[in-house]
Amino acid sequence: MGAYYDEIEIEDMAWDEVKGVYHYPCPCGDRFEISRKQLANCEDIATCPSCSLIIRVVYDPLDFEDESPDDEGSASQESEEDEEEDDNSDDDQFEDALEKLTLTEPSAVLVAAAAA
Amino acid sequence: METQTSYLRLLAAGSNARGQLANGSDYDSHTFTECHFINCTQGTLPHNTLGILQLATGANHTLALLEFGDGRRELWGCGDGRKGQLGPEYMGQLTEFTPISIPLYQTYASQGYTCCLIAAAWETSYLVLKSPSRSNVVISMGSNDFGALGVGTKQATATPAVVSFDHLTIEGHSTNPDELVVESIAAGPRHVILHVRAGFNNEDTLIGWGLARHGQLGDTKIVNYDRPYIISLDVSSDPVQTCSLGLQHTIICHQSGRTTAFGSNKKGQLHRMDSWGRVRQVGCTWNGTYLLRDDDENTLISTGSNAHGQLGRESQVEENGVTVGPVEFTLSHDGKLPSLRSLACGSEHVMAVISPSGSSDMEVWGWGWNEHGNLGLDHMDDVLKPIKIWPARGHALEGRIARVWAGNGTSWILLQI
Repeated sequence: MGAYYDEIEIEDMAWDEVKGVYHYPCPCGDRFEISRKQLANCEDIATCPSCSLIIRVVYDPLDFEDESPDDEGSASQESEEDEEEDDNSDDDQFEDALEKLTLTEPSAVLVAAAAA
Repeated sequence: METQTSYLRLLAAGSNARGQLANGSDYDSHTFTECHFINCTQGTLPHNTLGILQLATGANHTLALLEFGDGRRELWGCGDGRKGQLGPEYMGQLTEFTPISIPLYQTYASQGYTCCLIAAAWETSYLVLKSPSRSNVVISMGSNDFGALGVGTKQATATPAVVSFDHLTIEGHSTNPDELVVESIAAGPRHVILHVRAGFNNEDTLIGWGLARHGQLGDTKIVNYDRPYIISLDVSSDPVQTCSLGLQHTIICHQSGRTTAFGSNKKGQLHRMDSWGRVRQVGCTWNGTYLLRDDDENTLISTGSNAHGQLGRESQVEENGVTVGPVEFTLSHDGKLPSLRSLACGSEHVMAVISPSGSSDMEVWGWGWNEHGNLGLDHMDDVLKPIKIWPARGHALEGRIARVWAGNGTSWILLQI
């Protein structure tokens, strides 16, 4: 109870590719929104721009630990078959990075350093 | 000069950020104001409208299925169309009800199909088309979050599509595409359920898709279904009457008057569902359940979240405290309860059409979350017990109350004057 309208698991939130936020329906028709950056900073309160209701997001901080400002839209959107969605899309990005590694060696050094 | 002896007025109040109240603006309305229908005289419905068969509300869009005196039906809509939930023609925002045209629907209409049922999830719209002696057609359009379109996840969002049931097996037989009859369609914000008759024996079957991880589609092992899925429920001895959907729960009302409940019980929305019989109407808010019973007292039972007075009665608001009991309507001067005629549940508020004891007049009463002025009382305070919301203060009772609907912070009253 208390101040939260509800406590929502992140698996119940949808990802907005354009705005870069997870969102959840608010009973007023607008939506509670929270960014990956907020989640990475252990901020777990999502607010609705149109009313006073707030929700607390339940998630595993480890899933957002390596969040960087450039890391956009890596969560899968519609069909979330399991809770590892972030890891899968990180794999996709890693594979893309691997392909690029063979072409541009200086980038390989930077990527390797960042991942260390 | 011919005078129209009776006409319809549709009123709405509440959230209006995308024009979903059709009052010509995108400002919330804290009182009931008239809905505009494009090219119609202010405050009236299109000429020769017999009634509004169905009104469906999504996050910020509204669909109305109008029926005309000549038997024709038309789908009108307003509000947010950015995800394609109003069809491909209106991808912006409509602040007046406007006829919705969908090429896919036109194709079926030219073959004799008519739109008979509509529903709306959060940002997705559903149409059920029927034609005599032919299988029903279900069209979905809008957002595909959580598989809402029911056509898998490769489908681009927005584009209207026919939902296929070919992959299903009912009674051990693949569904015969010529035999599907949709009795009803109901949608919550994130899941949708169809009550269909199919197969040799015309047996009741429940088919759903969308978010499922809370068990609202009967199976907690799957996160969500992005195509139609048969909900396992034995209805052979007690057929389905209605389906009501909350945000994470589903209540099935059977013809015997008992209910089957599944999904989340986190807010007590399923509490003691199996102990009530003689249920004749069910409504679900996002986190609550309301049972209108056919008993001597004409009781309305409520259970679930009461953080904003949604239960319409006193309850101990304690951690994990769950209570169930009757909604507390004000007794008339002779100490009698009003007669409850019908119920409409919004996201976190409820409306009921009642007749005061000893009277055949009808009034609309409402209670619950009111932050967007959705109870039309010209204030935004939560209402913890039912109070009269129509006729509103300063308005005489005009005509009769034909229907009420409640959406996401919105309330609707159709008057026949």
